Amino acid sequence: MDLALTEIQSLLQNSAREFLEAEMPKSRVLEIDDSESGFAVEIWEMMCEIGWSGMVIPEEYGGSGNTFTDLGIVQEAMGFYACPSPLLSSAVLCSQAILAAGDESQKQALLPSIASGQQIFAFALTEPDYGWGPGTVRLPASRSNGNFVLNGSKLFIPDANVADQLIVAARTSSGDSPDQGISMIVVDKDAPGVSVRVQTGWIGPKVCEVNFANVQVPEANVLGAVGGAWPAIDKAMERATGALCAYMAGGTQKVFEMAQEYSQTRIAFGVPIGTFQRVQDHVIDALNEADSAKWSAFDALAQIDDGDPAAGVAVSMAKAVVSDGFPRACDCSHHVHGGIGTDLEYGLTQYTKRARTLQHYLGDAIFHKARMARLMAI
Amino acid sequence: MDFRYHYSDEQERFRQEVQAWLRANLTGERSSSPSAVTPVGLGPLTSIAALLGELGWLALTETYDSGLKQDLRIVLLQELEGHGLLWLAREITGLLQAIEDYGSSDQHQSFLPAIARGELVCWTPSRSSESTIDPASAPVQVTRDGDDYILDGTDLFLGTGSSPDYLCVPAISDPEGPSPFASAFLVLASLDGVSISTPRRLTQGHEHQVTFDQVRVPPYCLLGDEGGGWALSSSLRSLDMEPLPPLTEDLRVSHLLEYASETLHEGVPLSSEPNRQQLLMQAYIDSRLASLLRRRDAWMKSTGQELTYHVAQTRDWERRATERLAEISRTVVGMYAMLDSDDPHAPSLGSFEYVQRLAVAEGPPESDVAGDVAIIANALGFGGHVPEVAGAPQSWDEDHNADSAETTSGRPSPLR
Repeated sequence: MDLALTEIQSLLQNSAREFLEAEMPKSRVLEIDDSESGFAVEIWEMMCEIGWSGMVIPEEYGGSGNTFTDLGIVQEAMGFYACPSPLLSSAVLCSQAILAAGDESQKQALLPSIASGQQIFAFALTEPDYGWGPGTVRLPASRSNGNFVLNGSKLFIPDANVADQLIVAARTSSGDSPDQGISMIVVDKDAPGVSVRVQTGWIGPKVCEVNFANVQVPEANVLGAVGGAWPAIDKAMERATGALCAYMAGGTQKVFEMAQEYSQTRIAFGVPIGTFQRVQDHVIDALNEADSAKWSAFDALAQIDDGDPAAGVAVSMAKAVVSDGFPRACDCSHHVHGGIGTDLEYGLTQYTKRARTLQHYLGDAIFHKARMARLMAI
Repeated sequence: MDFRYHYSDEQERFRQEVQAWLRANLTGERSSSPSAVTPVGLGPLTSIAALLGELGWLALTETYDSGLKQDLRIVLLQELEGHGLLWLAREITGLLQAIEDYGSSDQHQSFLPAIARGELVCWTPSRSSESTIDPASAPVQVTRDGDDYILDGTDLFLGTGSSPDYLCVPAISDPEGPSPFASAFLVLASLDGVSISTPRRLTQGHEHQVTFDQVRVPPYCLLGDEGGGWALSSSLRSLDMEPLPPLTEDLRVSHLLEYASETLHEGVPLSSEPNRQQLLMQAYIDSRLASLLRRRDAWMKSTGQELTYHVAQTRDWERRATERLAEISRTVVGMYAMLDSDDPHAPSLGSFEYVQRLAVAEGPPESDVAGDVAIIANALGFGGHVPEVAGAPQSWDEDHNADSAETTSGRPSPLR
């Protein structure tokens, strides 16, 4: 048992924190969040420049072939600073989907541009009947003259507004079970018939409604076997979920630290409010959520790196933990902060809305507990 | 990062030895079952402690000539925990450390080898006693009568059997006086005025109530200095910072998952019902998180990192997890969760019923809610949460570096 970071991982952690400390003050995060796109191109270019967009892409496809634990270290730091970016969508979820399903020519064609950050990909799976299992994928893709024709809509798709390409999960046939008949199709976002609208609300990373109206896509754009994409989607989502857990763990740690610091500096009745046991309880609860999130996330990432057959259970457990824990830690921190916590400039709400949005992304606690039970044959 | 706990061949061999020994020496159906998750009965425990001591398993070789290496002790603690006996080895270790740190050379010779060998049974203050958290609140009062001390009051103690050879007693001088001091004594349990009763509790009783009625204690029974009760308390509580052994498997949860998968209700397994399935997974997550936190603590300890809130957090987490497990067991198992092992219909040898008791009793005997929360709060910088103890030195060094004069610490006797 060795829970220490390697020397190189420590360097990676320090450099990630230094970069984000310099580039992602809370005022900048607020500014990006308030923008229509929710995207800062100059920050994205810097991230790509330092290699984050190619971390989990093998070297032969232009990446650096890092481990998922390495990626988790960066994601944890990004979560700590509430850093908005399409990194998870493009460089993790989509790259892993291409790696899992694409043939060699597709990998050669698509992955280097993701690794370099020249192209941003977004993954379009969820639909109006929101869910992360195969049964909710209903968008039809019908064959016509050597093309697939897409008609329908996808909802809650992160980063679709800033993406160049979409990887769309579509139903190309009906199968004996829900996970059969699903294909992954690469769709140019500028193709005729594709429209994207940023959805509104108290939402952390921007999510979009994507509509397809008679969108023609060449059959060559299908990743892997037609109708047999679900195992690859599941694998890609599992890996991306591990990385997302690290991001959420970083956010949970931050809201705990904010609560701890505020409880020691805010004076009421002549003493720091942290001397009141009720306040201490909230801070301790936030600490528990932070530590649970961190260790379950990195346990899952380590199991992914080891190729452990139980990695799926560990990932789903971690997501169940952070999906519940990050919002709860935010609630605790708000209880400690009182009114100041709702001040947008103060910074806490940037985490709170992310916690409540990411709680659902890639599956909520209910989804992942059910997945655990299935994997454990309970 | 490597989260797997690797055991050496020597550790695995020792595990088999311990398991075989426990099977042979823990009497009764529960203890002979490899799936035992409820603690053994009260009766055999005195001999168990003695036998463990005889084998040299109660002490560490780092401290005594005979005993266990640290890596083998981890295995022993894991196996004892499976039988609800983790507290036994931990309490005895804490007592040995306290006597080692604060006892006189005569006390070292008289007590240490005998306790380590299990020849001498000495009860220690229970975690639910006020004196454990704050010796200034010790319910036993001490006064001076010539060279002797007189003890009066009632306190709670933790220990095996129905009566000990000795009691490790924290006591406070007149709490209304100008400067009350807490002291500690090693008291022969057979002295006149000592009476013992074992309250009936929800969980099997290793906690005893001892009343001291004008008990006359000779001066050589004083452990450490007059006013040294704080030191004893600190020493005993230093165990609170010792990581719990890494969990091998939470049998309570394994049994619940197994029961729910194998038990049919209206023709389908209990676990196939979505709500029950969610709860079962929550129980699994809770136990797995406990395992991860224990690994973190063990890793931090083994790499020399400072454990501040960590061990207390792990215990607190496990306490909450036990409460949730009790609720989940009731929901999933239903009425059967309330049957103990004596009932022929009890599932899993009554382990679900025992969890109900344990959850209400706020955890195992080594557990202390208030103490753990105080440790965490202090580590987070909420100073002043732990009440200041009468007679407590300002720092550890002050206590250890004090010179000798009238008392061994050089401080004049506060009771003179």
